[in-house]
Amino acid sequence: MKRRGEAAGRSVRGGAPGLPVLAAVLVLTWSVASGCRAGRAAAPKRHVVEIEQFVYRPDTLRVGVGDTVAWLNRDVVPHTATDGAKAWDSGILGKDAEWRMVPTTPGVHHYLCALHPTMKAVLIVEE
Amino acid sequence: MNTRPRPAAYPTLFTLAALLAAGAACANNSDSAASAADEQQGQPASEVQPQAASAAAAPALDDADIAAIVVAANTIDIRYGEIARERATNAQVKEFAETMIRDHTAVNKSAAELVTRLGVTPRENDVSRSLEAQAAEMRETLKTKSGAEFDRAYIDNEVAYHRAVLQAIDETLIPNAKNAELKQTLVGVRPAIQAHLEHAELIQRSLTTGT
Repeated sequence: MKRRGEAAGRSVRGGAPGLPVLAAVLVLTWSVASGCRAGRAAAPKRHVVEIEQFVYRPDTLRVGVGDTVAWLNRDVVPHTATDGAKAWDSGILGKDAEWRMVPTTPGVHHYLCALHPTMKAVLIVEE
Repeated sequence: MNTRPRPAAYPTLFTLAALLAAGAACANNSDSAASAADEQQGQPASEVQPQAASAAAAPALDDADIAAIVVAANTIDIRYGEIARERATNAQVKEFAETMIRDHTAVNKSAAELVTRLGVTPRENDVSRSLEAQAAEMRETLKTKSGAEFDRAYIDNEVAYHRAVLQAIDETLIPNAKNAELKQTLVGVRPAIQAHLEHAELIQRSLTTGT
């Protein structure tokens, strides 16, 4: 109950199997060429979105492909983090429950709480 | 069928804020809290305002009273939801009812844990008893309806109820709570009530436009 979804968090569909090496080379090259745009080519980071008082904090989050994003519900009532395009869904998160996801493709995800549709936020996944 | 006028049975909802405001008026020596519960757009209930004055003799509220009111207010909405679980036909309305049952049950559980920890025993009072009596009437009214008529009546009731609860939290419960943790809990519950209200209004509009 406390922690769910580490496995489910990886359920986001990734890129084609043959491409990672090429992608890594491109990312590395781009990163060096762009002169140290801090962090993107560095080790994956962990980000936390806290759900508290019916708000996702932060309500807009930029992460890199391969980073871990965790949603942590601080409210006494259950919530979800559900992608508007149905690419991923935390399922119901009870009080103090956490769900993690590792995005594998870049994109902009407008997500919401499936139980409380007025709760909305954005996850931006960058290469 | 989906016409706009609200059934006359809704007056009971608006006395929630009025009753609580009257209690606060006594406690705070101020009558400003008894302002109209229906001033939000689209909620014609002005005909019930005289009931606000009739509750003016309500006693002041202490933390034990407030705890009982919180439990009563949550329980009332759970029971409305249980009726909707059985009678609603619209999928959005059914899902909303499940959310209300789930959320208000969770809030009541949390409130029970808090008052136990604080050593506060919820004490029934005129306000909590009146709320329950009025809710009982509303439940009977809802049980006479079915199909789209029920969906509309339930959602209209939910909009009005959450609006009244929100007003009561802001104008009476939070200002009168003495214990800091109880006060903070009320502050923490407010966004839930606001979100429920906005959600109910979304569905209300959807039922009106048929989308």
